Amino acid sequence: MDKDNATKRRLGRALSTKIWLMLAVLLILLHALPFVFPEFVHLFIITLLYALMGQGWNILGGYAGQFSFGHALFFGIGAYTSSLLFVKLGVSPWLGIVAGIGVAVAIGLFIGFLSFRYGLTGPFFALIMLAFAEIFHMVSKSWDQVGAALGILIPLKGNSPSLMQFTEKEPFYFMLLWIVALVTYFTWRFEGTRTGLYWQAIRENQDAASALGVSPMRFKLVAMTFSAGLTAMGGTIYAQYLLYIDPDSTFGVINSVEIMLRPIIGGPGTALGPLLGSMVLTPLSEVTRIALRAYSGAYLMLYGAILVIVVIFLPDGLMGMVKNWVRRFSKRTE
Amino acid sequence: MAGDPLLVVTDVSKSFRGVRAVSTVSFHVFGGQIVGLIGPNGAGKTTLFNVISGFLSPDSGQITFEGRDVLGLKPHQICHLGIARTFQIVKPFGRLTVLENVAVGAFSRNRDTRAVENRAMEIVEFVGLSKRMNSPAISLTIPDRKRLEVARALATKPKLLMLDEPMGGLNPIEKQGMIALVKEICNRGISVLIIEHAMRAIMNVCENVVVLDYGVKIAEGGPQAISADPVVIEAYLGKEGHDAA
Repeated sequence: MDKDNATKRRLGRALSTKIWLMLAVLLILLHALPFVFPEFVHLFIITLLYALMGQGWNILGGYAGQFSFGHALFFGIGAYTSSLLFVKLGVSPWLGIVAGIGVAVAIGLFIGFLSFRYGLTGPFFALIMLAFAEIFHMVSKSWDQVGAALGILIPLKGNSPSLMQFTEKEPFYFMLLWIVALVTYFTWRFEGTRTGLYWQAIRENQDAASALGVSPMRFKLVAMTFSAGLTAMGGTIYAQYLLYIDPDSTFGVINSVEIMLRPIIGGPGTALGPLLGSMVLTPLSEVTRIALRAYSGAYLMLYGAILVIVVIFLPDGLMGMVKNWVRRFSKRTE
Repeated sequence: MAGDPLLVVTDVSKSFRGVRAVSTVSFHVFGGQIVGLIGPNGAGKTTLFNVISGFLSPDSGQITFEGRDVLGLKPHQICHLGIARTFQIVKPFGRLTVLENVAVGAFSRNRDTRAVENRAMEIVEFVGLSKRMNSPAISLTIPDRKRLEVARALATKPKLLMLDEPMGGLNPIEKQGMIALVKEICNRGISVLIIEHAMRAIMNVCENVVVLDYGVKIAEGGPQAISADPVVIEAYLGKEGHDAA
C-alpha cells in the first residue's frame, strides 16, 4: 500500500480515506477537550491562538523564506483596529476583524513593496519588519487617542455573540479550533499548487526561480498578504478574548519572538509545524512563567535554550523529527 | 540557414568597476541551431549569459529575441518570451522533489495542475531522472543535478535554451550522456546556446562557435575552422608565439 501511495503522490497533496476518517474523528474528539480538562481551557485557547499566528508567520517566513522579526506589528494592528472601532464607534468586532485584516494587509504590502523592490532579504528584511513593529509600538505607547501606555479596556457587554463577546471561554476555543483546522488544511493543500511551489522555489533559490518565470516580487507580496491577514485575525481574537490590550503585549518585540518561535521550532515551511510548535511551546511557557514568576522574563532564557537546541539538533524542527520516525516506521512494516 | 535569426546580440558591453567583462560582442543564433560560446576562464561568457537572461543590464548594445527588444526586461519576463537558462553552479530547489522542481518551470506556461504534472513527468523521463522523481533535489548526485537544471529550463517551453557549462564537473562518460541530451533537445526544434570551457567537449555538436577572450569576440565560425584558427589556439595556449613575432 505504501508503494502504491508513493507512485500516486505527484504534485498535489492527498491522503487516504483512512487517514481522513481518523482526522475527522480527532477533530470531533477535540471538541470535548474543554469539558474533560476545564481548568486548562485558557491554555488550549492560547495554544490555538499562537498556532494561528504561527501559520501566518509560516507562510511568509517558512514557505516563502522571508524571515520576519516583527510579526507583532500585524498582531497589534489586528488588535488595535477592531478594539478602537468597537470602543470609539461601536462597530462589531466581526467587522473589526475584517477591517484589521485589511489594514494589516495594506501595511504589509507597503513594507513588502519597499523591501522587496530594493532587494532586502534575510536579516535586512527581518530588521525592517522589526523597525516597523517598533514604530507602531512607540506610537501606540505615546498617543493618547489610542490609550497610550495604559492601552484599551474593551467593555464587556455580557454574552453577545454578535459582538464576539462570550462570558464563557469555550466559544473562543471552538472558534479557534475550527479556524486553525481550516488554515492548516488549506496551507497543506497549498503546498502543491502553483503559488505554493513558487513560494518554496523563491525560498530555495530566488535567482533560479526567476529564471524559470517566477516573479519574486509578486509572489512575495502574495505571501505577505496571507501572512499579515492571518496574524491580524489572531490579534482581534486575542483582544476580544482578554478584553484588554496594551502596547507591550501586542506590538512588543517579545510578542514577535513568541509568534515566530512556534513555527521555527515546530518546523518552518510545513503545514503542521506551527501547531506542533505551539503545542510544545505554549504549555512550557505558561508553566515556566508561573514557576519563575519571581524572576520576570526568566522564561525567555528557557526559550533561548530551546531555540539553540532545536537549531543545532533539529534544523527542520519537530516536523523533521516526526517525518524521520514515519519513514523509519513505514520501512520496518514493509 | 533560412529565416530571420532568433537571437541577435549587437555590440553588447558590460564593465565591472572599470574592468571590461564583455566588450562590443555581437553574434546571432538561428532557429534550430546549436551555438557554442567558448573561451578561457574569465573570458566573459557567463557575464554575457547574465546580460541576455536579464540578470545584468549591459552598459551599451542591443539584444533582440524574435525581433523584440529584450533589454530592460526582468529575468522572469525574459523566460516568458521563450528564453530559458541554466546556471553553471547548479541551483536546485533542495527541499522540493525532482518533480516539483520541474513543475515550477512548467507552471510558467500552464496553470492547470494536472497538465503541469503530466508535462513535468514527461520531461523528468526525457532527461532520465524518472527513478528519482519523488526524491528531494538535495539528495541528487552532481550529474543528476545538472540534468535537473536542464529539465527545469526545458519545462518552461523555451525556443532558446541557454546552458552554462552543463558538462562542468562531469566525467567523460557523463559528458557523453549530456551531449546526447543536448542533441535530442535540438532535435525537438529548440535552439541551444551552450557555454563550454573545454573546447573539445562541444566541437562535434555545434554548428557555429563563438570564441571570447578577455571579453572580446576573437573568432566565429564552424567547429573545424575554429579549432584550426591560430588566434583561438593562441588564446587557449598562451601568447608566446605572438610575443616572439
